[in-house]
Amino acid sequence: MKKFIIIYILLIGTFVVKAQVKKNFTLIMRTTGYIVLYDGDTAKTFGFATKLSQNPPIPGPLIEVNEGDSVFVLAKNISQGPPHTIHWHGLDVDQANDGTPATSFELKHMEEATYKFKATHAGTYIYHCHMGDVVHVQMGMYGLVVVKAANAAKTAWTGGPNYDSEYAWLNSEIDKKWHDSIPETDHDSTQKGHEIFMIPKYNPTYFLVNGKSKQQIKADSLTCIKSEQNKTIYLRVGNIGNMQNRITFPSKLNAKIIDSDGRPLPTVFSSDSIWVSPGERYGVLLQSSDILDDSISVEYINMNTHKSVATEWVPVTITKTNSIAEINVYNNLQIFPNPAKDNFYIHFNEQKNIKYNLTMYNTSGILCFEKQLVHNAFEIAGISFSKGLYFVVITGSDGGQYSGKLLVD
Amino acid sequence: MNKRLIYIILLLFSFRIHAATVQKQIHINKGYFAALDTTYFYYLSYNSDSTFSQQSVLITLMQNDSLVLQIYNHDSVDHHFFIAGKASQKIASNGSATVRLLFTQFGINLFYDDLQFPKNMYLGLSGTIAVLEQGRDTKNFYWNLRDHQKQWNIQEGNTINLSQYDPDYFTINGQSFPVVQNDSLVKIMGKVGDTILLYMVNSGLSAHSIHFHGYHSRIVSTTSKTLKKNWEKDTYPLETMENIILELIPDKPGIFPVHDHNLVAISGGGRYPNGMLIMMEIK
Repeated sequence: MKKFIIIYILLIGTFVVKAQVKKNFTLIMRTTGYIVLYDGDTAKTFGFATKLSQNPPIPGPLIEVNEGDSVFVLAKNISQGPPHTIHWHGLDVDQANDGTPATSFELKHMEEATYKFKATHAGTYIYHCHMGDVVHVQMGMYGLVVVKAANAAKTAWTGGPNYDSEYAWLNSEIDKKWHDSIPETDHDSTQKGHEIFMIPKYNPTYFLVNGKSKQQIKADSLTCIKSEQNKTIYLRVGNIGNMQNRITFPSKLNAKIIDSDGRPLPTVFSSDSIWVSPGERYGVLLQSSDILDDSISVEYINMNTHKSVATEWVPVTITKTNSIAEINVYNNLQIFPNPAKDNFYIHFNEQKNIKYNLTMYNTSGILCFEKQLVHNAFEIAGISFSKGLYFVVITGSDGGQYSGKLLVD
Repeated sequence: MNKRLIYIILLLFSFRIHAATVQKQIHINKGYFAALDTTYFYYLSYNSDSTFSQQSVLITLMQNDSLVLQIYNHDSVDHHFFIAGKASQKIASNGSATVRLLFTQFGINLFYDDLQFPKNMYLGLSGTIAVLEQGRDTKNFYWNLRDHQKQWNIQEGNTINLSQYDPDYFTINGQSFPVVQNDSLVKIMGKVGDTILLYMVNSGLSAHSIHFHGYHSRIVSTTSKTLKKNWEKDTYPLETMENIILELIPDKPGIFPVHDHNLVAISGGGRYPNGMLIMMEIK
């Protein structure tokens, strides 16, 4: 009986700990930003920054949380112009935190407030200003919210498919004329919400993936996809522009569409292209058994004429796998203890007149430790390895090699 | 055995009760579309009587109902009444015709004039027949999405050039925000736990992308090339001529917008906010 009570208390304790995971963010609303376009021209922007001194990036700072987290976002409007809000697109928050000016709250000059919501479903979401949204979104007030699986597991959602690496793209467009002469969005402070103003015709000339075009994309390591053979890539794609996107994958990537708008699809389907309409998000798994040096195309489709008006190309590089096979040409080579903590030992039968080189790599393939071995028994101590899995490689001057795994706990 | 026979008889009897013959009239009228900024342009409409209204007629039936439609054409040129796979009927100028149809499948049917396609449909000749499921207690709303470019409608007979299409006005059942909120078939209202069905067709020439604040909905039925049945989403793209039925079961109260996320379509003649936007109210 006592046993049951202890288990029960432990269980409740676990739930309490889970419920207390809070993630805090600060977003500063500004209207004096700028973006450097691929041709060297610049455009005035509005946006969200994390520091007072920061030019608001496009897209805004990534909000990354785990499923089940309670999220608190302190929003500060330091701009001189119109009020702002933040709409949590797709997160199904309550009315008070929805960011619709007429039904939620708005932040005037030098006002601040905290948006609160719970991240109930892993997935890809968008945040954007909903005050005069047609203008404020065009000016750059948007960003991504990534809700990872519980405990940040490398699965698309809790219990969902595994992945090795992930990328997130938020696509949009810029009509430079809107930025050069910002449509009037100042508001009468006695009114709330839907004040009327005029907008010009929309004819964008810059087409963005994560705020970048053309050669800017090729230089952006957060956008360009790099992976290895047979590794699974999870690509999140959102569209906050006013055009549809048609995204076409090289067939060797074996694209599988697995989720949309923060919910798993009832049936996974394979397709070399997906259409992403304004406000939509998709999750795609990519994996190639071949090495690859290719591109994923992102087309921007006019929703009225249904014509493709521009294409951006995102490089994708799949290299030969770097995973290290476990081999051992040396007799009786032992690494112990395994798992290790602060120190561990290497022991093997002595080979006369042979020099040995010890190297250790983390799971990303980064060299973490290297040492020459001159005896047949070694203690590796006094080095603070981070917890995790390491590949241990010992090569001898005779051409022999040992490779194995060591877990540091 | 007797018990089973009684059940079968009861079942058959219940089908007989719900299979009705519904008689309706549709009038093809011409007039002028009035936008909220006092812009007017030439328009055609399927109405329930001979008085022109820019809001097309909506017909609702139950599964297995038969429909007898008397269609009157008050225009001086011929028109058609067309439903893909179901009906194709010419209605001569200033004439009339009768169409008899049986609807066995739950869903939404777009009817339109396919003459000079898509011109007459674009000028307003489209409407919807919603077929409701037997025995389901649902709150139903009906949206017919359209878009309009003023310069192509001012004069009768203007040529539609799809390669240069750039609409100025965006409507749901012929009206825009905020006036469209007065249409009880459009403004979504309900309470927590209700089963709300939104029957939506796109008879405009543009694609639209309808986003719900506050809730995800389940796709009950769709003709969309990208979306699939039973997907749960918050944003629903609709290409021209596509339809979709959404099931929303609200889990919390609130007033939330539902709008096109091509944000330009929340305007009318350049005025924002206007166009495809409503405020949904859940108690």
